[in-house]
Amino acid sequence: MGLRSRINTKQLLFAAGLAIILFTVLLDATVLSNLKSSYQDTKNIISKLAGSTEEEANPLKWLKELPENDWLSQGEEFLSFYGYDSKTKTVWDKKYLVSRNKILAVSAAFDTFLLLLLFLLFHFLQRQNKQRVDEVEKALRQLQTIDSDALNFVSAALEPVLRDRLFSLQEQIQTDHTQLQEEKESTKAFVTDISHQLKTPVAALKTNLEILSGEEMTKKQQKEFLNSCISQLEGLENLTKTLVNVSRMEKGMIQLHLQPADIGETILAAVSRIYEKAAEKDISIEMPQGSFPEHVLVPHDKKWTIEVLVNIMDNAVKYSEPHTQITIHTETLTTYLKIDIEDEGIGIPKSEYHKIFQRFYRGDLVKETEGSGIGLYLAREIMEKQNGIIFVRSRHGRKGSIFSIQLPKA
Amino acid sequence: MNTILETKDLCKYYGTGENQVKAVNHTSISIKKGEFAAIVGKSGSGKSTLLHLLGGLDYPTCGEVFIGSQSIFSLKEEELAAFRRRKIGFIFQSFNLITSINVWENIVLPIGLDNKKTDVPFVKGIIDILGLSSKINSMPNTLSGGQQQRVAIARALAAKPDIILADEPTGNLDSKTSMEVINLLKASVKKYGQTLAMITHDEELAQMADRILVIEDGMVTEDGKAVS
Repeated sequence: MGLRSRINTKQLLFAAGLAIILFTVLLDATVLSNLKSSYQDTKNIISKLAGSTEEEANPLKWLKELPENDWLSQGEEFLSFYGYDSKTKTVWDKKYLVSRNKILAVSAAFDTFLLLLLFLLFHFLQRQNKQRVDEVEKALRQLQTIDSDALNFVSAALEPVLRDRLFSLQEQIQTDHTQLQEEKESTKAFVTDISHQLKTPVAALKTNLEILSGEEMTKKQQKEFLNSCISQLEGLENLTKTLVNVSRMEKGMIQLHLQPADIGETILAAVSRIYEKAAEKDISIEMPQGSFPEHVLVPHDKKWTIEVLVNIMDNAVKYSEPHTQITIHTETLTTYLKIDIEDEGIGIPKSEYHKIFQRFYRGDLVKETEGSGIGLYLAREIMEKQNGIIFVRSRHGRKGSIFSIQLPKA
Repeated sequence: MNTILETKDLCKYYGTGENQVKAVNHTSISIKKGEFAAIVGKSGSGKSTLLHLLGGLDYPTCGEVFIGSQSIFSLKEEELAAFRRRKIGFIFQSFNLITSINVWENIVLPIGLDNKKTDVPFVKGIIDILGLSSKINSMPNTLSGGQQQRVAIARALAAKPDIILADEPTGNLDSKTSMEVINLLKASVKKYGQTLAMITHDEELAQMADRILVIEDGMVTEDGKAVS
């Protein structure tokens, strides 16, 4: 692009003017030299006529062959004897001069006219150009004001391509603006959500502690209330942990570092974190041979991908009966690496597929089970930040769910 | 105010009297810029008709469609065609590739139709993401279904449209490839800041969307936001 293609109008018009003048000069030179030579011919014929004898001066003969040249000098001598030397103005001289001046005048007028036209054109283009720049400038200025529809009345004069781009730009700015507003709102909503989540266990703790401190009771009863306190505290602790993660995510404080790493190791690390909890319910975690990635490098953030896998498996353990099985399958697709985590749990109704990834969403089937409704939300956020996806589907004709994640292979 | 695609009281009726079919019935929806909206409905619910109206491929019986602030049916036919080429990319269930020209030519064809210069590095980037780099000189009918749909996606993205309208984009693909294609589509749309409206009958696919609209007997209702 740049300078090479930007020949400006001024230079272009200047070149055009120069070309016109050059063209007329060349044309005039040719025409005038022809005029001169035919004038010279006429003069010569007159001289020759004067220099020839009566018999030789036969027009019929002269039509067929050129008169001899020695008549020319004789004729000139004869003419000068009568006072007509080469400097005397004859009627032919006058005629020649008139013709010449006419040609020169016409071409001068023609040139002036064209140059004037070019000059006007230049001014017109410049004015139009300035108008267009003004339009764009005005539109751009209004872009800054984020007011909706600000561009509508400006842009009629703009070319459609430019107008469309400006609209796109405006929409982009507005989207960013709204997004900021929405983020602000969502932070507010988030704080409200958290306080609700905290209320229940804190209230329970308070009641338990009040009873413990106030009433007389047996050792066994005391132990019961203390256990209840511990379990509430554990719930709070879990909630705090997840909240820390979510709030980091919300604020964009989590910077995922996508680095090629062995995905098999990541899976194993996640399994080892959930293994104990699964073992307590006698739930086995299977990784069938051949579907486990041996030394497959995939760009991902190890720490947060483990978080995703643990969240999925934690749900699988939580919502499955004892003595069941969780199976992890890995498969390489064209662009992505897919990890399936299949459980034999309660399953998820189709109508809730897209809802389970919402923040704080708890399905009807799981209302009774303890949980914050954050794990899958966080998992989806993390996967999207890694240009991957997470989705759920049912097992064919059997109880349970399959959660899949896909990570780009490169 | 950052609505990019909006319908106002949109209708499309076929036939008259007792045989009248209300394919789209007084629908007012709005889709925000950068959003991935899934329009879910059973076959015959009017979802394809709705998408055709959104894209200006068909004229409504009543109502209007706005893209940005432009009412598209107030444009003259050739203006609408040009507007559509600049603003909208289409992806169909049947990939609609031209079989007599190769993959690269298929992808850049709409850009040429709009007399624009191809942004070669940009298009190559898309082709790379979609894993088609080794296929650009192949003819479409030598490719698998998944690959052909990738080409169709690349074609839709190449002209840098603001909106992508996809009608059952994975209808002809197996479920494994489907999810991969949707992931690609979603990733590209996010990367280039575009808006995606996808029509599907498949709840599994719909969970990928930020927002789900349900269409039933030509009427559209909101099914809550998938992600806040």
